[in-house]
Amino acid sequence: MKQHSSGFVIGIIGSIILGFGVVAGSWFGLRSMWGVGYEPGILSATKTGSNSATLSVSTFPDSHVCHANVGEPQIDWVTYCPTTSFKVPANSVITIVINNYDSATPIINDYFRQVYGTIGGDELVNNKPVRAVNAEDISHTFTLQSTPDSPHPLFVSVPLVGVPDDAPTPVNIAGQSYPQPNTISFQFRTGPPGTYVWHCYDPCGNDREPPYGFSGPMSTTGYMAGTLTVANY
Amino acid sequence: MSETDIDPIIGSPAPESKEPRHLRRVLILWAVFSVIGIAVWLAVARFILPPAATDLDNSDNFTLLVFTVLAVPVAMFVWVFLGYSLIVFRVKERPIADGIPLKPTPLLQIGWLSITGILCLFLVIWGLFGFYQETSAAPSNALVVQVTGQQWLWTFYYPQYGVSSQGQVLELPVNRPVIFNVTSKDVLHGFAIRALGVRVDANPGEVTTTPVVTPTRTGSYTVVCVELCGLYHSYMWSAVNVVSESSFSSWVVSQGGHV
Repeated sequence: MKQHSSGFVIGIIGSIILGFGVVAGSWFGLRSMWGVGYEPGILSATKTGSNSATLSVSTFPDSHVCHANVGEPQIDWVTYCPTTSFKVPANSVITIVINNYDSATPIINDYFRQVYGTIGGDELVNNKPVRAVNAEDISHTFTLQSTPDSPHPLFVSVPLVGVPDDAPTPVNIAGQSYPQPNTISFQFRTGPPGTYVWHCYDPCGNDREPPYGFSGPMSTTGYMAGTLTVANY
Repeated sequence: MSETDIDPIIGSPAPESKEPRHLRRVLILWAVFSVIGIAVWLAVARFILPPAATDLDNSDNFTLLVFTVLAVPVAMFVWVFLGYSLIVFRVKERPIADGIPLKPTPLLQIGWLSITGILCLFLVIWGLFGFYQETSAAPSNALVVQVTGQQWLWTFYYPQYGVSSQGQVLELPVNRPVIFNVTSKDVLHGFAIRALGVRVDANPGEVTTTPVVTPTRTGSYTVVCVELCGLYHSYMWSAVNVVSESSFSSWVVSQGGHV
């Protein structure tokens, strides 16, 4: 049997280890890229008139309903549902209805207690007009903002009132039990076509405590952040 | 260093013709390119430097202008010597002899240290003078704006008027000193308004006060975040409107504040 030098053997072993490292690195890298590049499906607002439309979404304390196929830890992430990419008609009054199934996470920036940019300067919480919400009672915000190149700036921010922590869970969706949601609705006007971003400004991410409350779903497209496209249709 | 400081290569054959005066050539080239470079910079600077809306930013632009004028000869010194050497002393064959031994020259060493020392001292004095201007006491009528950075939005609160800006807008009156108290609610952000000469880190849990700036030109400018802060960092911006005092008062009332 041919004898090999120790350097040759070490080289073979090193190459195998390096090869596994390259494969593992590629796998984790690709997986991260898929996460970063995730583009959820688009939900178009339903036209209710020539210059009006309605968009209905929900917020859940976990991802069982909207991201049922993801593993840990994403399955436990809070999320908007059914998507975070919205399309609304241009030059229209848009009504957004949000069913919030989540409990409160106190906000840390009082600015987001207020309602901004809506028609009438308020939102309806279970059909009651509200201009500001107690910081302790907020579970999320829906804050729509312009990008630097937006020719027609748009800014809308509403706080979403959370359900009580100890509320009963009589609602069953996709095999999961949730409490009766708070229904928040508000209206705003769109201008010409353009693209905007929206985001939740309540630290509702991992651990729900600063600074970790801003990670996980708060920093991932498809959960608590997304886009709103204003288009002609 | 002069040609007389360079020993001929030991053992090499005597040159057949008189060696050209390389040092003189290089110095002439350096002087010519430096003058051209400075002239070009002075001609294009006005198109490169953004318009200043405060005296502080005017000072910043002037500093950039002067420092670049000083940097051009230094850069040319390196590039001309390098380029000249690459072209004139290029040989096709692989050299087999040692390089030319260099002797220490006191005049050269003292000159080099003196020139660079004076240059650095000038920059330090310039910086100290600018720092003194920026940290001088705030006037009594200064407008205070509390700036809060949060992924990924700037929010602005005017404590003297009890009002927040309702959107991505920072409204400022012209010719009135402004102080920004900057903080962050989550991670490190960078609060920067180039036209006002303002750039400061927004640190979580700490309030950083900027130098007093006085916008002297009405117009529209931009706040940007200059610290990479996450998913929508590039969208973390706000418009800055420098308006007349009366327009500013109207705006304060429109936002729900009191004048």
